[in-house]
Amino acid sequence: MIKIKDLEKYYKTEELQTIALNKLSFEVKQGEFIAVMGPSGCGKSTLLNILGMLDDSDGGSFIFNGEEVINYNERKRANIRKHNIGFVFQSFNLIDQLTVFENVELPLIYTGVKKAERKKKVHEVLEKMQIMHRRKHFPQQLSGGQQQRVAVARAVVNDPKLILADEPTGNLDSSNGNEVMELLTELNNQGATIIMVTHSEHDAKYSHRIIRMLDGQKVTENSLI
Amino acid sequence: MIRNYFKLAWRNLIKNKGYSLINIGGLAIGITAYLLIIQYVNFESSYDQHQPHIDDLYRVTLSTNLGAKGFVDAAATHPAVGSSMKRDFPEVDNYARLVNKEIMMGSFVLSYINEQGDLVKSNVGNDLIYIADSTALDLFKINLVKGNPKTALKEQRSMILSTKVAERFFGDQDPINKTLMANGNIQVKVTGVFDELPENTHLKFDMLISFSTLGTWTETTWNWPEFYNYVRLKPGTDPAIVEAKFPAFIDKYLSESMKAHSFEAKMGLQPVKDIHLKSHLANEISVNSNEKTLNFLWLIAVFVILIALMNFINLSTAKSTERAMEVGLKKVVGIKRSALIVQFLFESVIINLIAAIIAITIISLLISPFNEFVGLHILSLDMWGQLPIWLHIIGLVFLGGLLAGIYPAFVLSGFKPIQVLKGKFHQSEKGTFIRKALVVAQFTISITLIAGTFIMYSQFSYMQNQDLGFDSKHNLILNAPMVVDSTINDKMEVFKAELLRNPNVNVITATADVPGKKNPWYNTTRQVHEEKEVSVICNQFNVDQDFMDTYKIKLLAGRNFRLEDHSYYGFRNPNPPSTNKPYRVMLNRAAVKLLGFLSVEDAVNKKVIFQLGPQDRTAEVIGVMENYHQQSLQNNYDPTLFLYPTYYNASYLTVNINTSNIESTIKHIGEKYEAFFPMDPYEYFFLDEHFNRQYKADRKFGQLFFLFAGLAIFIAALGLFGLGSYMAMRRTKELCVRKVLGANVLHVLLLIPKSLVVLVFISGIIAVPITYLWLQNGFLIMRLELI
Repeated sequence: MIKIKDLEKYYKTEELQTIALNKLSFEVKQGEFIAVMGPSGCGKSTLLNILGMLDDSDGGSFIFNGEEVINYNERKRANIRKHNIGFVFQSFNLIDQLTVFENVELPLIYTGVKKAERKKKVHEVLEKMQIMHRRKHFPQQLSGGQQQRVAVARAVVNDPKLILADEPTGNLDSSNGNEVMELLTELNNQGATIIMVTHSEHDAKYSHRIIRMLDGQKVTENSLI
Repeated sequence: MIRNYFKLAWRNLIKNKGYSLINIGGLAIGITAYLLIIQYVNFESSYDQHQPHIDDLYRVTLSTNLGAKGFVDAAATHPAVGSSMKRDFPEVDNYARLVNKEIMMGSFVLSYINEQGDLVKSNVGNDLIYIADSTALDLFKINLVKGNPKTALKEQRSMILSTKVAERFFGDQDPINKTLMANGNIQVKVTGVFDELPENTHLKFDMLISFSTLGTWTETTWNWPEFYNYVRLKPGTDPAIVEAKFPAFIDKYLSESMKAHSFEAKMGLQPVKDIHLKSHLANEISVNSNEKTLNFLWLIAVFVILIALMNFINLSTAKSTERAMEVGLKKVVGIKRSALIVQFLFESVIINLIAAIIAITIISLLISPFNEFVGLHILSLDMWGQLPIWLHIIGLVFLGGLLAGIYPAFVLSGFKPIQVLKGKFHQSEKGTFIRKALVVAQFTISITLIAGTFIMYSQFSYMQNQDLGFDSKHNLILNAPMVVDSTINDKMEVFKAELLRNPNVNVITATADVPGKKNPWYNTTRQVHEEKEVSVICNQFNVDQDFMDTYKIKLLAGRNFRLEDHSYYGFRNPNPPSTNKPYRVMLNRAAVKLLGFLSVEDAVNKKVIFQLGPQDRTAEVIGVMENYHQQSLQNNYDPTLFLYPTYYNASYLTVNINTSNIESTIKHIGEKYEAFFPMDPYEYFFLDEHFNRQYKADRKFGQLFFLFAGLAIFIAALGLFGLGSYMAMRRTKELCVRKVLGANVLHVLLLIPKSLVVLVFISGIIAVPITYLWLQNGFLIMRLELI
């Protein structure tokens, strides 16, 4: 599903140039659950942003579903993104002014789904995440675990082929964290490909394969299955 | 402590440069507008306050009910009033009478020998000339630079000139004892020169001629209410005491006349200090301002400031989250809430202070453009030396600072440290609501002001494009010759015939007045079978047989004047009137209605009685013409009686010309005029320009209004921009999340404006009924019923 080769990314300031990704290459197959680990500043998040087509790379190749996307402009990338990729963030990134229902509904609005269909899909996914009873609440009225479940619901409401999770349990206590990991596993079982950045060895164990990074390079790759 | 406050305030200003700019810029513009308006209002309120003993200075007013249609309050009264009051009332310290030279002599030509020894003729059309008692020099502040104030206006045929007029006439020569010739036959001697009068007086003039010139009849004349009578009461006298004596006074001097002509009269005293703003009587000596208008301008000033302060409140509370950490930490280390409030109020005052300093700089730079704009000498650097303006500035800085600072101060100082430090801090719904309410308030005010401005402008353009009922476009007005003798009637006919030989000259008429100002001649009129008590007031207008043709006024019934119809014998007629010649007059539609005829046709061939001077005269109505606007459209049609005088009584000649070759036509007319009337200067103007000058004051006010309403909108928009950009910044995260989820650029772009546009839209809805009510209450100076 994803094939990257010699992917490079630099950050330049006036004084120095930092290498975030240094000729990174790997492949992800449809239905895989990958954990990316490594110390802070090793380029994990940069990688995730490029895979999510939120950021440009400075060199290399990125093939998504058989399509070379490395030179695509923002509009084309946004189009691929909204139909194929769901995001889960460490800090949930829910919109404060919108209710749970409205937050989850957003991706459907932007992909042009009709209103009745939207309502049906949002209700389905909220049921699945067991937060249906909270649909009229605002994010700040929920606990952290509940907020992350809403975020996951929002990430999957569009049935994305790929879910990108950036430290999804980072702001949660262990029991809430486990719940979120169970959710991701279940989604993976239902066919979604998942790439998750994490610091937690515990969380990484839920994945099929762990890619360990250091200074923008892949150091090891071990399969857990 | 204070130093610490200063430091913090300064650092906060520097840190948020954009918002500081919007805050301070908005406030500075607001304060500028406020101070400009205040200066304007103060100037308008300063009229005549410089006159000596101003608290004891009064003008005598006269109310009469000539006819049955209620009392008319007039600023002018009879010539004998002043001297009789001084004789009869011990409370009267002194009096002075003034009368416009036009009342006594119509148009006026002065000729004199100038510096070079040439005879110069000047029709002094733009100069204000009054015939005045010598005591005017005692009652009013008239500073004689040459001549003796005690004697300058005592002698018959003496006059005093303003320094500018004296210089214009005589250059560097000493004007004292120079002789001027009035209308070619009256010699007047210059006995004094006075400093130019200030702009802020209702009583402006360029020359005064001694009252004694008129003769002693003025001391006993009680039937000519065209004289301005001023009295100075003894210090501290209650005017009510004098006013209480008026009924007996009137009884003593006017009862005979009241009985003979069936009218009643009342008199009153009007404080001179109130005339400019409060007096709107008939026969005002000059155009007064309207207190309502000034109050309204003042209201705008307050609104502009309020809008700027609201910006400040909005932006500071919106940004309060950014200072939450500072507040939280200070509270953790034990600061009292009151100290925080003082700190935030201090910052607010500092910002107002900086804005005030900028405003003072702007105003200093605007002195001459603003003076030019309002056409008055209102601003000068001297104003910074006066206390009142500083009181306003200090008041604005402190009151404004506290007013704008108090709400943000309480909001900011009320943050709970635990919440802030835990990062669980959220903007309160209430704060957002208040901000929205303030934005709505700002825009409601601004939209109302803009709507008012727009309505005023459309009224102006309506009035200027409206059919006035006469042809104003093709009429050239000449001053009728004043230096004339008994041959003038024949001479005038030859002159007319001579002009008509030019193919571009269509028709010419000689009239006592032209449209564009109030016709000063009016008197009682009634149908012949009516009792005197039911008389009505009609204007009396001297015209000739070519008047209707020249002005293109429609004949409604009957016929126009013919050459043989002239019948009215003017005051200046040296020969006694022939008794058997019938008077023939024309009426306009308004007069027909007022006199109670059934229709315009009904009035033709009927007899009416009108008063001329002290006498009643019976005349036959030969025709009725359509109404036209003698004055601006703000005034109704004047009911008018048209007379065709036998004896030459014209002030103006109206020449209807073709619009092609105007220059050469004017030149041709000029050559003929000079040849026929060598003692009169050839001066001319176009009727439409003359007529539109009536709207000058309104237009000026409209422009002033537009300027300040525009500033109000600008400040409100500035605040909205600040709030919008702040919202965009605060919602960066949200916008990014939306983009990640697939929102396109347009969608994100519209997100912020959408929420603000809703507020502006709500303001629009609120502004509509306010504007409507405002119109209903006639706050706008125009009369809507005419439109």
